[in-house]
Amino acid sequence: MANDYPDGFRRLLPGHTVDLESGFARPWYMGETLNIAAGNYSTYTITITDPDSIYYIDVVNVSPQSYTEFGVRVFINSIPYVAEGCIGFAHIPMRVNPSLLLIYGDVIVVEVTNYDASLRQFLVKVHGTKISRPAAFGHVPGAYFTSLYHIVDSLVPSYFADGSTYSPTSWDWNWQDGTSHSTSQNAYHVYKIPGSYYPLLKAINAYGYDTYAEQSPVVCNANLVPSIWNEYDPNSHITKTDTNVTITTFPADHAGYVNVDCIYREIHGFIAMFMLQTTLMQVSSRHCFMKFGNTLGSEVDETIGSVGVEIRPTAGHNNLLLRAYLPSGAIQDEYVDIPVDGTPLYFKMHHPSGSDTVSLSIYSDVAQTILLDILTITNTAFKTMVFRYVYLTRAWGTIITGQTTAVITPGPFVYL
Amino acid sequence: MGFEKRDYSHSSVQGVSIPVPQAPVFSILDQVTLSTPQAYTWRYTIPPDDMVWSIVNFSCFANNIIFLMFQIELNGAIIWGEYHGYNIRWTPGVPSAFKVTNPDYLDITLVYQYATTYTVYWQMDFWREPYN
Repeated sequence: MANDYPDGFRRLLPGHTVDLESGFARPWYMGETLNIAAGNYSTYTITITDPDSIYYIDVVNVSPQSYTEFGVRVFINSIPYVAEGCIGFAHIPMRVNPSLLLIYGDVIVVEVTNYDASLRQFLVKVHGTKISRPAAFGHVPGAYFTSLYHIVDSLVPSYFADGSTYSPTSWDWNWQDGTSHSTSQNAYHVYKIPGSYYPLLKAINAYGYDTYAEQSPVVCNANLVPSIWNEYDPNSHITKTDTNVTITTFPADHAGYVNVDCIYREIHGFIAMFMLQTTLMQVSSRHCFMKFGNTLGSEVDETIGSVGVEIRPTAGHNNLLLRAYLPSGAIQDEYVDIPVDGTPLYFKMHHPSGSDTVSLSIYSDVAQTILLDILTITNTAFKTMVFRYVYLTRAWGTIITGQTTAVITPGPFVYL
Repeated sequence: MGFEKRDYSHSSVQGVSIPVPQAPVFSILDQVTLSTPQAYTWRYTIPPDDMVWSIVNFSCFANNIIFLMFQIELNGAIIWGEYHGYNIRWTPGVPSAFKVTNPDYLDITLVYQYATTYTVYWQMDFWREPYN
């Protein structure tokens, strides 16, 4: 026999050595007879119960009582290793250089399928050699995980379930986006920059480590998808399509709203662009048509803080407010020349992550080249404020007339 | 580095201890049920997992003894093929195996020649070790 693996072995196996002794390798085999009905299959299972030996597998033999056709599959700890169609007999040499090995608790299963039209008897045997198992020798983990989602929006958490074998004791998740690794067994990660990512799991135990990446990447899209938005629309003023959300609210129908539950998104910065059309509203009515908050429910009940755009009519015209509700009170900036004849305006609301300023740029054209005004509000609370929900328009107040239509398309949303 | 401790005829000259190489069994596999003659191809791209994959085993069978033609291409180049009714097995072993890593890709093509319905199953096993 040629030397096994003469080029050495590069896998990390701290302390994994086997003392050489004369005659250390001892042959072993186990076998069983299977009676298998026509067209059926049966299995022969070996569970290693010897804690003191390492069992190498050399050959799997399957011998039918007489010449016949059959199929064989061999599983190592439930993982398929070989599959063959056979006529007359099966002599299946197993991997060498390096060999397959089993230790205490491992399982090899030989599955035999009888292709014959009558019951057949098969003698299944597994051959190999074994050596004494050194102290502290065990399996390196087999890293494996599954992703719950392969397509996510930015700042939507991706969930990953560990499926590693051989009992890893620690886990290192490299999200491949430059952020800190996670060490939980099952983890989630929030991608903030659109792109395709191959998360890499390193599963570690005392004997070494293994790494695994899925063949399919996690694709992070930049946009929110309107279809995931929740609506409360008792007056049927909300229309959602694959590309946008349109809400037409009348002050008298103040209960309607749409929100996006950004649960776990940890939104600290964003750019949101949207369009507004409004007609004159009666004094004392008020519309909020875009708002970022951190609690769900009535958008006026944010317990930590929110920032949004509102319309508040005064005599003869509507005012547009960029307003934040904070525990310490409201702050706002105002634009007074908003048209009331339904002429659309276009907005870009911007909050850089970590900044203490929120700005609202107001344009008269959809291409956002004609800038009418920039509103800004500043508060140190914005540096750490977490936004979790996005609301679209709602109206309230003592109200009779007026109308606001907000059209939100998913493309302009960018979370920073 | 040393050898896996299988070759005890050499044990007297190999020192007092040797490392024991091991890696979890790692397979890719699939099956397809076909009813008409055709070529059916699976493509598998090695993911960027910082590992080198050695193709140590390919085997296949159907739910009956039928002639199967399999061809394996690596990055568009044919590296193996076989046409047989049974015992279709390719076991190059680690030292002589094709070693692949991201973004290498494998095309596994089944040429199915029957107008009768059969299910064909294949699997490919790898020895994986860190890239560096």
